[in-house]
Amino acid sequence: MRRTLVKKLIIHLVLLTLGAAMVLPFLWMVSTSLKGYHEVFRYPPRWIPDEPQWRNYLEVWKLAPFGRFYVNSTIVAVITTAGQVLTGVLAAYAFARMEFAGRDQIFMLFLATLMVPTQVTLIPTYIVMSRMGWIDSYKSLIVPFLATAFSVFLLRQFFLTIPKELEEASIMDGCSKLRFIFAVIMPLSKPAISSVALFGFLGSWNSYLWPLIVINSNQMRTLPIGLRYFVSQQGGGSEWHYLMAASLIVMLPVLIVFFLAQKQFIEGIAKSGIKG
Amino acid sequence: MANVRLKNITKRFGSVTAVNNVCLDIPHGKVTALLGPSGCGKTTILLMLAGIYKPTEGEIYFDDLQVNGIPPQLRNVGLVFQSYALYPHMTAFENIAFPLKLKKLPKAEIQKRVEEIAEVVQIGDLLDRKPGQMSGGQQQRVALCRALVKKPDLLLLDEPLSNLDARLRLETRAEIKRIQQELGITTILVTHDQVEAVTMADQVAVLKAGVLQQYGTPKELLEQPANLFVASFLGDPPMNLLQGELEYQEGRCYFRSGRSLRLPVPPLAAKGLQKSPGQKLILGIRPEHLTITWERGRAPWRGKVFLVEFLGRDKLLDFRFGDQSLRVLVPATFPVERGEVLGIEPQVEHLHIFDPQTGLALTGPPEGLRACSDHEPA
Ligand SMILES: Nc1ncnc2c1ncn2[C@@H]1O[C@H](COP(=O)(O)OP(=O)(O)O)[C@@H](O)[C@H]1O
Ligand SMILES: [Mg+2]
Repeated sequence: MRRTLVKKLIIHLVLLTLGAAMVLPFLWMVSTSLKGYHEVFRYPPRWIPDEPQWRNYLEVWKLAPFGRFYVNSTIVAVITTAGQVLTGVLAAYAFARMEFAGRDQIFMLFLATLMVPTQVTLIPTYIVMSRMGWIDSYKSLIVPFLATAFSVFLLRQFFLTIPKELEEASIMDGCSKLRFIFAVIMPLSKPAISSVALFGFLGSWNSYLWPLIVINSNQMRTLPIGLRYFVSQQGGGSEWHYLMAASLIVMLPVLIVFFLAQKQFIEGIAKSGIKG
Repeated sequence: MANVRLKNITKRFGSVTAVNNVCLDIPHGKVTALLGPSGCGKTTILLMLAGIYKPTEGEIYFDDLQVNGIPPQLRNVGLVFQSYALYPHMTAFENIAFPLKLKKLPKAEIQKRVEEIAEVVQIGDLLDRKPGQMSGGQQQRVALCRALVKKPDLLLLDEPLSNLDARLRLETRAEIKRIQQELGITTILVTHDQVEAVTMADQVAVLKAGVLQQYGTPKELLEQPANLFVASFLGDPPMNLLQGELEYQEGRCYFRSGRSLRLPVPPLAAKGLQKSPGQKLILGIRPEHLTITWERGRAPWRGKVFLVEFLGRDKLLDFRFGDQSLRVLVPATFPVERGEVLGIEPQVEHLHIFDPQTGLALTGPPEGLRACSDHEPA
């Protein structure tokens, strides 16, 4: 009794320390975002600004077309995520459950693409986009990422754990393959699908290099690129308080998605724990 | 519908022959069991009847309709999987309603039919639960409902009792029988447990390694096993099988096994045997068809009790002759000690003689063999 209490205490202390190490930079960001231009560089630094500059958050929207960036990022991330889930589910089902010649070879080939570094495909993909005339459009931001080997792999592994009898039962019930995928496989794969969606969303939302390359016009920029507005072009002092405020605005949806997905994850784990 | 007929059905998976040239006539409204050890192709036959597997060779008829090419959903067959295969994310109600929903029946109709069948199977109080919140027995009833709600012509049950504990098994056995009789539905049931097959089925098809061994009523199978496999697979405790050879002395026929065992073969059982001395044979008799007699001198067989085993209502006496054992079933109240020498009297009409080479029964052709009828469907 006593020992478990001590053990619990130690575990919680370690967790608290690690948690604090994670949260501190974030809190510093929040703090900086609420400071004035001069206060940012004050020594010794202070956690609580003298007078919180809430208006920083408003200024940011005026200094750059942030609204437009937000719309762009949201459209791109949502469509990319939905696409990855849809193509991932369909392809993974085929690889996990359908029988056709060369299935496993094709799957290996698919997996092999995971080993190709993105830098290698950057230029060929750019050329494809440019030939299609898609440069500087949503298409170039979305289409190359609609299917990923990672999501197919993850979902396939999960689908393999779903008993074959479920599908046979659905056939007996008069269920089509597509209907089976949507009515049975997908609800049962919530944990796997939410991981795929989360990775897809984060990847798209945080993507920096690719949008930088394929987007030229201000109108089409996404949020990560938009942040460059606050990094001084001349290499002098950046406006850190604006940069931090803008970064927090960019991070907000990610935080929200993460909290929502986290609930999903826990639910998924809990559900598979009491499986009958 | 449905008289079900399997005609020379063979199913191969790659190089594995799971089902080998099986012929069966399955009568309407009865319970038929497919019985055999694990891996003998029972589930494969069931899935072929359901339409999930296609036979490699042979034809399946529902009445006079050849159904080989008919997809599962058009066969009107209900199947309960060994693992139940309920959809884990749906409640019992949703599970049962699923086939009706796919048929696009109106909501009220679905509600009515689910409640109807839930009434028959007596799971009305479980409809809101998900499979994870139900016991194995309850899940099975839900699976049974899902199979029955379509009002199928044929009900297929794959090892319906194998995932239940002993007490529940007895209960469920009676329950399935009750439901079957209430609905009068043609039922095919797969099991590896001979007690299950014998108690639940009107006729039993015994399979071994994909080959049909014998098809008949439980009584026929028990009383006239067609071969050694059927003889040893059915019956509890199992049939005594003694290896030996025939011997003739003064016109009488004896069965000799080793040096210590010489049994006179009653004329009735010897009838139909080739009268060739030295012919190797296997003699079979069930423990319940041996009686102990006190008049040792007049008893045809004699032995020393080697072991006494209590089986609850009965006692199993184990006699040893050389390296062969002979078990005799007596009432539990029967006074007997280890080491006692007793006379044993076989019930002549229950002696079985098998050819050790082919395993086939040599005593009287069993009438039960009617697996393949010759008539073509009209
Ligand atoms: N889908 C399949 N693919 C390959 N082999 C199979 C398949 N289904 C069954 N088999 C094989 O066929 C044989 C019979 O299997 P099954 O019908 O499941 O036996 P039972 O139900 O009597 O235990 C086994 O040897 C099994 O390994
Ligand atoms: Mg089986």
